[in-house]
Amino acid sequence: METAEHAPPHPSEVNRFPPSGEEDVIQELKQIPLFQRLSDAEIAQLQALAQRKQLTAGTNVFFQDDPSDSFYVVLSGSAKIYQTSEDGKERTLKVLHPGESFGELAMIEGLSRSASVQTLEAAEILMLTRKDFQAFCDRHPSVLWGLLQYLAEQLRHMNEDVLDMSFKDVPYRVLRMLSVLVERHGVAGPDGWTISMPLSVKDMASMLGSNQGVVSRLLDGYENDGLLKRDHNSWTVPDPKALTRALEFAGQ
Amino acid sequence: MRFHALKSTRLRKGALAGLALLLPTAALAHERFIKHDMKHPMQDWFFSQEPGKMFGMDANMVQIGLLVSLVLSAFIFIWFLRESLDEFIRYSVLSRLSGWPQRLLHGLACFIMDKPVRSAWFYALGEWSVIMFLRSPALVLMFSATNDSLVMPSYPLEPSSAVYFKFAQVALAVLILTQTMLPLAGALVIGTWFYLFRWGPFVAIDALPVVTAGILYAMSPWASHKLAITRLNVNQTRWIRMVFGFGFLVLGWSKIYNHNLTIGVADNYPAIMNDPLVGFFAMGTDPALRREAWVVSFALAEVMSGFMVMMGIFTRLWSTIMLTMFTKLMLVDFGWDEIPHIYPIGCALAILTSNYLRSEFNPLERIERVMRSGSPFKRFALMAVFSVGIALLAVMPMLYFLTFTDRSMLK
Repeated sequence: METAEHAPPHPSEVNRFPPSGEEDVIQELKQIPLFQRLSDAEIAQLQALAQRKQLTAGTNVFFQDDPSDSFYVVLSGSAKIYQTSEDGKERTLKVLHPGESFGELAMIEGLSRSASVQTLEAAEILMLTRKDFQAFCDRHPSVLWGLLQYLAEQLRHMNEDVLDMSFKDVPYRVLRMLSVLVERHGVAGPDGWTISMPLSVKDMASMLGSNQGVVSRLLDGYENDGLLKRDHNSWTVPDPKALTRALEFAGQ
Repeated sequence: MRFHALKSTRLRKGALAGLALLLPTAALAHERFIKHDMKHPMQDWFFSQEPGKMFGMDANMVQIGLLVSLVLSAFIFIWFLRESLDEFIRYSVLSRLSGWPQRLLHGLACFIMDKPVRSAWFYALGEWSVIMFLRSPALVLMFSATNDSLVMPSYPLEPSSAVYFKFAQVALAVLILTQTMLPLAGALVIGTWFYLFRWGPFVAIDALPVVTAGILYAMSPWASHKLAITRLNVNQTRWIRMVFGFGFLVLGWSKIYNHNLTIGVADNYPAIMNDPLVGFFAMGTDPALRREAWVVSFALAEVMSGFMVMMGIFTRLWSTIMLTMFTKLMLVDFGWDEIPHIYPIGCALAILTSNYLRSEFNPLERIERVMRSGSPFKRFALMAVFSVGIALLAVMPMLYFLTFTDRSMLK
């Protein structure tokens, strides 16, 4: 499997959530959509219950079929959610970025994990056990609204993905993924908008439900057309407007 | 591919059809190829009721029985606490690792704890194992036919009907090798096994592992020749695991009952007496009863492993141990005489590479989870009591019962 196992953490991600004092941690947690409705005092209580973990690149946070006894929030770095079939074939479902939570669905259901999560680069995550989270939710039901909002958003994205898979061809899906990545995780710089993550073409192809060869040829084409520049651990879109135009054209 | 579970009527009809086909002919069943003549007489009183002793059992036998129960209860206890063990592995061991060492250790933990192992090579091994398990009985049938035997080379055919049986066995082997009408092949195999009861239950017990292959065939679809049968489904895995385990459990007990045959084999193949687990069970017994203690230890080791596979406790671990034992017996101890063991090897491989392993104690564990209190001590104590109780019930009553049995029919 292609992953940048020993890639150093990207400076932009590390700066987003710098390891610091308790006040800073509270501010970090407040940036997470799930906890935005909570007051500083409530966040402080939550922080006391949670564990922070520093993980190196290529570390599995949990594996498919494990018991679901906790949920996690990415504080820095990135990780991928992937499923492994019985015959060992892996399919990347999603790439997680700072502020995104994972493992909450299986934790709520109380079933075993339906997918594995592996860090793509050095990452810091926050872990909250099911027992602690339940106790916290009993005292602060407003956090459940945040959770519902987050899950509804995930569901909407999933529906959009299903529609795209059903009605749009691969070039559109590749351009849309690039566009979403720029919108959510792009950092403006002198050469354009940079997306820093060690995402392989194989991961991208499996997220798009296509094959590696097709996606690789399309990306080469977009690079030749000047829509995209690829570096070791980052992708740069020099002109996001050109990308949007290409997306509109591909969608027709 | 996976296919639907057998309706019980198909198995019943198959068994009756097999019986009807085979009843008119006779076979003489006794151990023929493995030498089993005793070199020294056994002290038969050891295996019988002795007045004046606790429960009328020899103290050495009780000691071995209790030690086996203790080891069995330890495995059951660890099995019941595997959630906690799993938690410890995840949070205290795996969380400190990354990359391939983490994935390797996780795969190993999944293997030992009977969880799905999601890996390309394990899947490929599983497919190959099912193919081997499916076809290897055909090789044994062919081997038996060329040795004038019925199903297993140990059961010689009566000369008057040998020619019909030999053709029937070759035809059955062809059905199996070409995967044609497998339910019929299953019915014939299971029917033949029932037919063996004609010579007493011990002959049938000896051949019980054959039934595992019969189950696989009987649970296959009629159009089996069109399919690539490479995976066992949940029901097949469960049936095959239970029958395989039960077969070895009963075989273990029969080794104590027919102790002269057991020690006779050991007298002719002394290398089989050097088993570390059996040596551990016989530890501390009276040296004057070395051979008798070996028989009981050897038999109870088989009872224990059969019980664990039957009940689904560390199935993969015990299937691996059984696989190693059969391979050693075939390649080192007995040689070609033990070639029929190729299908229990196939069966053990098919079970240990299955990703659908379940435990028969799951309902008990669900009840425990519902009743679980906050106190870990209470939980551990409850589990310990359960484990010791189950292990003692699995070993001691039958061991006690066997001291009353009349062995005159074996003379």
